[in-house]
Amino acid sequence: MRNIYFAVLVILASACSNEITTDTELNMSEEVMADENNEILETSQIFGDPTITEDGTVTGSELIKILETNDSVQVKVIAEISEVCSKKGCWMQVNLDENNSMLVRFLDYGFFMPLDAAGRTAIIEGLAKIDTLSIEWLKHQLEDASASQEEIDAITEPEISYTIEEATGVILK
Amino acid sequence: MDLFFKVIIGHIIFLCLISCNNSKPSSDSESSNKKVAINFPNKDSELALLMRELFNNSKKVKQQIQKGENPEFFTEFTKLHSAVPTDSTVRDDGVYTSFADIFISSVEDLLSSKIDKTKQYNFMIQKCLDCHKQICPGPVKKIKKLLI
Repeated sequence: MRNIYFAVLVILASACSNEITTDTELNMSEEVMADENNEILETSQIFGDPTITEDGTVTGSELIKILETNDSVQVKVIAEISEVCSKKGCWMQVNLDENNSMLVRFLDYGFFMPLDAAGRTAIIEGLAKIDTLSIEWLKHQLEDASASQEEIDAITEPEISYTIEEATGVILK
Repeated sequence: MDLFFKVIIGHIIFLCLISCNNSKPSSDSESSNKKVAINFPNKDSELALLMRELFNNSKKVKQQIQKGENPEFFTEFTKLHSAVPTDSTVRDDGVYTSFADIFISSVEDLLSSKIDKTKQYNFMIQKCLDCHKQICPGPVKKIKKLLI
């Protein structure tokens, strides 16, 4: 009878020990994941949708090609920031290639970029298209960029531009 | 003696179960590993914060009107005249101040209105849009979503 009790005891201890080992492994893998996340967070920042990832990112040149045959495209594009709204960070201009830039604004005015983000690389998720920027907007953009009154007054025509009007998320590297 | 062993084993089983349960990762530690978005990395001005609060208040008022309830304002919207703006020159030409006066008046009209609060509410939101289109067009699209 005692032998049976000891056998049960050993099995239970073993089962429990195995579970602890599994949990330990799980905790370790979580630590690795946390470390990876920390690594990402140390080198980059996320704005807007916190679930945004770098998967499926296209380059600026690739986006231009896509928009040659599509009116709009839901995309994640990687590009260098050339300019940020100097007052609030509520819009940014990114370089798609050497000759083309894109205006990016953020969904529901719900997140902004750091004022000093120009020169950093961004992954931007949203609906990209070629749009007409109104005279009012262009003037406002120049005002935000602290342009002179002469430069602002010189805007007399709308401008055709690549835009993501409502970016849902941004990873800033 | 058998009874003694039964009691001991019973205790060991109980302790094993407690121990095994405790060793499971908590949901708190799982959530602490999730990425956190930074939405407003720059210092917000008093007026920017007031505008954000006013938007949330208007959203609630919209729901109240749609339900046939009386609108309630918790935002001190009269601070539109005193809150420190992001752009220190925004009040210089008097345009913003005029729009702020019209907006405050439209809120008072909405609160005192006995009939057709929807029309009065949309008028109030339209005043926000008129001002923003001229002074700060960034949130225009967001404000349009407040219209009924």
